[in-house]
Amino acid sequence: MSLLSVRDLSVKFAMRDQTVTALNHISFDLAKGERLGIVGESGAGKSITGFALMNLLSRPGFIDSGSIHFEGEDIVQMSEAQMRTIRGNRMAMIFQDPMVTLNPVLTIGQQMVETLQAHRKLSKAEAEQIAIVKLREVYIPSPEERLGQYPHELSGGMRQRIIIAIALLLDPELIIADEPTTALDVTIQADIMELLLELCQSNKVGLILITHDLGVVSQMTERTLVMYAGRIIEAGRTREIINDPQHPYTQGLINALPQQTLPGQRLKQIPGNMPGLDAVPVGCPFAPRCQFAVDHCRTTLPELVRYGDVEVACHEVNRLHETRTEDQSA
Amino acid sequence: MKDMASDHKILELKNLEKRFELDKGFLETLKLRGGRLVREKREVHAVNNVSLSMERGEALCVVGESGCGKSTVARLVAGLLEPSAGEIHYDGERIDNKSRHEMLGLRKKMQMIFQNPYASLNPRMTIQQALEEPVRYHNPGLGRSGVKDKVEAVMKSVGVDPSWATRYPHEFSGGQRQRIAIARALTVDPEFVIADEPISALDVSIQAQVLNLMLEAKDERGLTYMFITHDLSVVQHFGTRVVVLYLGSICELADTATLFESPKHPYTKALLSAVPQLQDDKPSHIRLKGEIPTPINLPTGCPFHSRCAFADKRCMVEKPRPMQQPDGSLVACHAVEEDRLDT
Repeated sequence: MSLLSVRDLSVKFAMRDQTVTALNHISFDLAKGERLGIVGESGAGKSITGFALMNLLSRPGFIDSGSIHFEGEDIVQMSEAQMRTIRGNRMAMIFQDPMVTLNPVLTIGQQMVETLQAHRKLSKAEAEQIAIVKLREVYIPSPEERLGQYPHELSGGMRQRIIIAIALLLDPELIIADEPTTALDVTIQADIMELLLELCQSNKVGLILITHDLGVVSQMTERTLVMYAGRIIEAGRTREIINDPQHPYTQGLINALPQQTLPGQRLKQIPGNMPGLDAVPVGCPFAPRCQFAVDHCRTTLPELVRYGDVEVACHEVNRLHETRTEDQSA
Repeated sequence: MKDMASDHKILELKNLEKRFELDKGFLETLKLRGGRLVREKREVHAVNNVSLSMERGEALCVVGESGCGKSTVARLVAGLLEPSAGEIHYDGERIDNKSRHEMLGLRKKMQMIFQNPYASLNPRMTIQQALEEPVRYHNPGLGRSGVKDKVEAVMKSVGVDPSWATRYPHEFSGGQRQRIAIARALTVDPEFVIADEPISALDVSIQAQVLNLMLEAKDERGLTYMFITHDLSVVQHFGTRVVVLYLGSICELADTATLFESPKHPYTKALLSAVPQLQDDKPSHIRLKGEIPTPINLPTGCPFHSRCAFADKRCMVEKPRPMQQPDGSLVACHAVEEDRLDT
């Protein structure tokens, strides 16, 4: 049985004059200890997916339909009280900005002890012992002293390590990390990612990594979902998706990276912008920006279907693949 | 304005320094030290003894991590900050000691693009108004239709439909706004553009659009760029030369191709190795020990010695000076100089 099983999940936002769909019938599974990347640009629905999995959506957002089975139990149907026993305990979330996640008026120790005591019957001294062990695991120097410090006394990289330590406090089975290193410098990002990977592997923790950085996805994950305008448009093993993307959007995303073009040459840009949630076109949402779009694409929505080793939502995937293979052999 | 100008370097920084005072008032300078009241002024050493020069038509990328002083350098060059010491020469003329009034003529030649286009466009001005303002200001002789034509031409050149000119900034997407901010910088036909993280706030597909636009402007108008960024993959694509800063000091200055092929300074090496690549299947980078020291109390000697695996006694006491290497790059590192880095 998979750790997490999401079926036909739709999330909507009730605005004053209309209801917009932020997530449109997405389905995916995550095995125990598996690492999954969710990539896409701002507004694609990546973060909403993370929030929905934690059942953290608040008004005006709501889960409209679908199910999220976490170890066989449907999170969507759970009461807030039931959810609270899972959240932070069996599944934990790491956000982009550690300064927002940490409470600025509580010491690191107080925050860690509070988290532990919320889920387990522990004395303060016992909880502190666990906290110190976890801080040591994330390579925080002299953890005993850190317990008494406030978040503002620590550097950005150190704070994000502490967030990871807090996420690991109760030995969760799943960590959802939403752009965990976007606010950090590259050298610190590399350290944090290496740490996260090491911890997930050694503790057999499942990871959902939400990011816009394909390089990070490539380093960290086994499988990847590519999202566009609230839908999954391509899913499969990370290596396959990066080496041989099938969907024109995934191709565009990879080809737009500066590394893919010779220095000084024009980058291969994707024209236009992602549609706003209130103006998603009928048919394939990517059609207006897609150079391969045909009439069919503008009228009918492509389903996510298996193609070779990956799943793709594109009517023309067959034709495009053949043209590519011909080009390569020619 | 001067035709003979072309034999000068377009920009020269000589021993540039910038310190920000932390304790401004008298009371703030009073500190209790070991039971005694002493006066003590703390300063952030943002830029330390930076010297470099730029040729016409090149794109110099200034890279480094947060707090390394790259934005401060940009602001000093643009005249938005006053240097604490050192000189800035533009086109053979010293500009850092000029009054605001004297700088005005220069503003037309030198424009700046910022990271957040929403903050650099007035939300209560239409795009037309925002774009017209600099044209009018710098070309007082230009008639109304002349201004309008100019604005229209620039909007077209950055791929924004001129019929949208009556809209306000909030009606545009992030990428469009950044293109408008670039258009605004280009309306006065500058020769030198300082871009401070112009694409960091944008999505990948939009980044490519904006970078292409900047490359086109460079080719068509012969612009010289000073490009401030933390994103090394962009540097490799965009820059002709790169300068790597650490704690306000130059570590390495080299042609882009040279820097990426054979980085020499241990910090440059670590920085390059930390960029996640598409082909990586796990993180692989040179791990630096410790964290960036505070720029309030700069380490003695080499600013990087506290994190460097090759640091020895000399590195702790003597600050390395940028030295010319056989391949033309400048590297400030004792270990490179003494050839004791194992490569």
